[in-house]
Amino acid sequence: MVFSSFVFLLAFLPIVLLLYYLCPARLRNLVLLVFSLVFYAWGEPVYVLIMLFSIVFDYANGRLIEHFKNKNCPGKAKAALIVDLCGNLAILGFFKYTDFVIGSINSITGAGLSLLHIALPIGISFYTFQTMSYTIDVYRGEVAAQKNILTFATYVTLFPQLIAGPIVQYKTVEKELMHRKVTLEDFSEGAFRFSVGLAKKVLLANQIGSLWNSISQLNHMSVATAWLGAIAYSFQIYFDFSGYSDMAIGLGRMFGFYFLENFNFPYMSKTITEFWRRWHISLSSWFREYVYIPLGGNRKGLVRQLFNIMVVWMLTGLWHGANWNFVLWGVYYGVLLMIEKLFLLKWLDKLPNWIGHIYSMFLVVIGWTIFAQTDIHQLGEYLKTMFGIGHVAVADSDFLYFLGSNAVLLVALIAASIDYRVWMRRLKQGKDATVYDAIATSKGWTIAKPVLMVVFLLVSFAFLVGDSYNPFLYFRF
Amino acid sequence: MKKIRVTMIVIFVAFLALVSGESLLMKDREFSPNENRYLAEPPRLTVDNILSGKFQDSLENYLRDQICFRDGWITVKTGIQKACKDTDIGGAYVGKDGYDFEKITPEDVDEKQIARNVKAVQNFFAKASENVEKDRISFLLVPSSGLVMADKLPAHARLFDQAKCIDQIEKQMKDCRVTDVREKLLSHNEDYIYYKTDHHWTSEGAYLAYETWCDSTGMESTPLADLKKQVATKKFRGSLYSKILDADSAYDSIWTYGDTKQKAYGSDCSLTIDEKKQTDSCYDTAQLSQKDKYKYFFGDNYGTVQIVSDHARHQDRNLLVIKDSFANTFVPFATENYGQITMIDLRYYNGNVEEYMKEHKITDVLVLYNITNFISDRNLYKLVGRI
Repeated sequence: MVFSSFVFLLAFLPIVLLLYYLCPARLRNLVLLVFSLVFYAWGEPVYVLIMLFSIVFDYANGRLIEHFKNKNCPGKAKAALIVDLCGNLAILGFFKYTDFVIGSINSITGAGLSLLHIALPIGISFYTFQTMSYTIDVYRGEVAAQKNILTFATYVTLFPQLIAGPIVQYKTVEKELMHRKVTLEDFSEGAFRFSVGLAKKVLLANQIGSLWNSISQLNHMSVATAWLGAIAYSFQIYFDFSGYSDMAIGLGRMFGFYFLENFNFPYMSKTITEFWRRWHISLSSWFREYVYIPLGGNRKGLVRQLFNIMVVWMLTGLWHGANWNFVLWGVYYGVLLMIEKLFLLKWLDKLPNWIGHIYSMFLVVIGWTIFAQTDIHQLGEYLKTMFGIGHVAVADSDFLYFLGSNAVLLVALIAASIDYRVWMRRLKQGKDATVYDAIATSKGWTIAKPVLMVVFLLVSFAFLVGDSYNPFLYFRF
Repeated sequence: MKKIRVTMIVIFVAFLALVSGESLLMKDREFSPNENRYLAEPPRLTVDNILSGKFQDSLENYLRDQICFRDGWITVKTGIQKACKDTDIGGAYVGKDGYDFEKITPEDVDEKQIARNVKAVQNFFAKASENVEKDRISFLLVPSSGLVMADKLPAHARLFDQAKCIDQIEKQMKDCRVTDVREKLLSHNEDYIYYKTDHHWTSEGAYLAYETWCDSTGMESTPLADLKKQVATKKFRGSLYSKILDADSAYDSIWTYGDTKQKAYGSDCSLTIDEKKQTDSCYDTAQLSQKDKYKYFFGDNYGTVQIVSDHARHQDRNLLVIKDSFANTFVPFATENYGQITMIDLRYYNGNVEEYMKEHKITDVLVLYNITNFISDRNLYKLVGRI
């Protein structure tokens, strides 16, 4: 089930909210657990069994690790952790990468092994990462093992973040899983955040997505059209994914959970290093905490650090999908980050901000182009067109049509990518603070939120009914 | 601050409760005239359906189709898109001066299908010319409004190259007269020859094509200027309106033409539909109170429609029209020239055309299709022999 479906909005959400608040506090985890299982089984009526297995497996290993640690047997605790990690990676590897490996072996050796055609269980990359963070943290002693299997199951299945993140680490919600309360502020801010996320997904991502869809189907295109397409996809993936994260964070808050932020206006970045601190934060933190730092991070010399960066980014790429273009995409960012670390950051720091913005967005758009094309040959053709290699026109009437009919949307997308708090801070520090005072103390803000919420909900519904075009991009991962 | 928070919670909860409650309570609609399709019914709950995911998909479609104020939501969406200067809405183009257009892009064109269709017509003409004079076999492609009314299209709108398509197909036609109506229609593109909210041509557009066809086959026709016209309805919103659902959309008028003010051409014949139903006019007034008022012409598309006229210029001639819905506005005029006409719509006809021609002593043949329909049609193969 996805948040922008009518089954979710008109049936699932009203019912789960009603039952959750009708039930006494001690039954609320159970309500969430049951509904989360329904939520998952809705899309994966069979694969829900894998998730149930994961729950039991990681719960048991968590208990074992703690047990051995208490008994002062670190070796056995480590063994239990290794079993757990291997188990999780085996599940992920089997369902996500088997056909990729077979396909790659075939293309290298010409072995002609037949593919297994395994369908990818929705959200498996997200929930295996979450459960691994749990057992590792139990091993590290950062959290206590959860004794109640229902509480643990509630954590793993929690529907707001189940199928597309953010990757909520156990330690973030440990206390809330057992004791939480929802204030008026929590519920109203959660509902507002959900409405914002829905609007981002339906009004921005889906709309610009149909432009990318049209452009990617063209047989011939000009340089300008190719760039417009790549920019359209860059906006689509940002608003799709960050809209989904907003909805997840908002829903979490309506049930008393505080998830960490997953995006922080990534397209405001001045360097690629900064971009990756602002984009899909929960994934970058996961890799930093559980791969990069354990590998030695930056503490073992420059050469080792560069090696670590490369490992992390190959894995990040591969995590996004079992395909060579994702590996390429990961390596692309790995190399860029190494270059920045070696010398470019220092140079960029001395240059005016706007050069940094253009530099970063140029590279990010190219990054998304690599990301978008799973067919390496087509990717090559598309990149060639973008850089005018071969017989391609600079611009054509297709470009003028696409630009004209999407101009207002593009302006809205740019406006929604800007973090206005930065401007406010600048106003505040400026010589003339009266403008800042006028804006900051305006009474308009108090009524702005409810008004915006009504508009977002109404218009999103109108577009949802009108659009049969409603796929979630982050489903594949 | 507390008041605002409570207000927001009330808004959120009430919104979901109202929309879902109202959709639940409202009686299901079976058919959507605007979309010309049956709406989804409640899905069947079985274990198999759940395990295969069919139940889940059907429930989503059901909720989307039966949500309260469905057309209202879509109208709001169209209003916003129009305000944002988006001209590509619901799979159609919103043009200038109230004109809407079909959106058929170069990617939609299937060259293989065109080749198959051309081959089918070529073979049919080769066979037909064994019994009918070649001069009495005609091929007429009707351009879509995007070609003729190009100045009303949104700037740089992406459409497949109709002119090139028509040239390419006409060049391959043998054993027949090709009537090309583009020049004539283009010279009248200031007139009301295509509907604004429907993809069809008006009777005026059809009459211009009819005149051109008469000229090319050496038949007589009354000049358009001498005709009397008569309004059937001024409240027609057609197929393109249904796609776009624009609350501010224009209304089209349906006109008919005749020698006198009282009688339109084709209003005084005897018709046999699908060899059963009898009627005495090419016009079905009952359709004017329905959504799709283009059905005023013949009531609908049928496998066969036989028209007998007792006042035609050539009582002894018997015309066979292989056609799509564009012919429905055209054929009433031809009743002035032919004592007998049979329209065959291959979408609904499964007999053998060749045998039909022999049985009914067909003397003239006309294949009339809109270019957009012709290139995508999947029934033309029926022209050659039984399936």
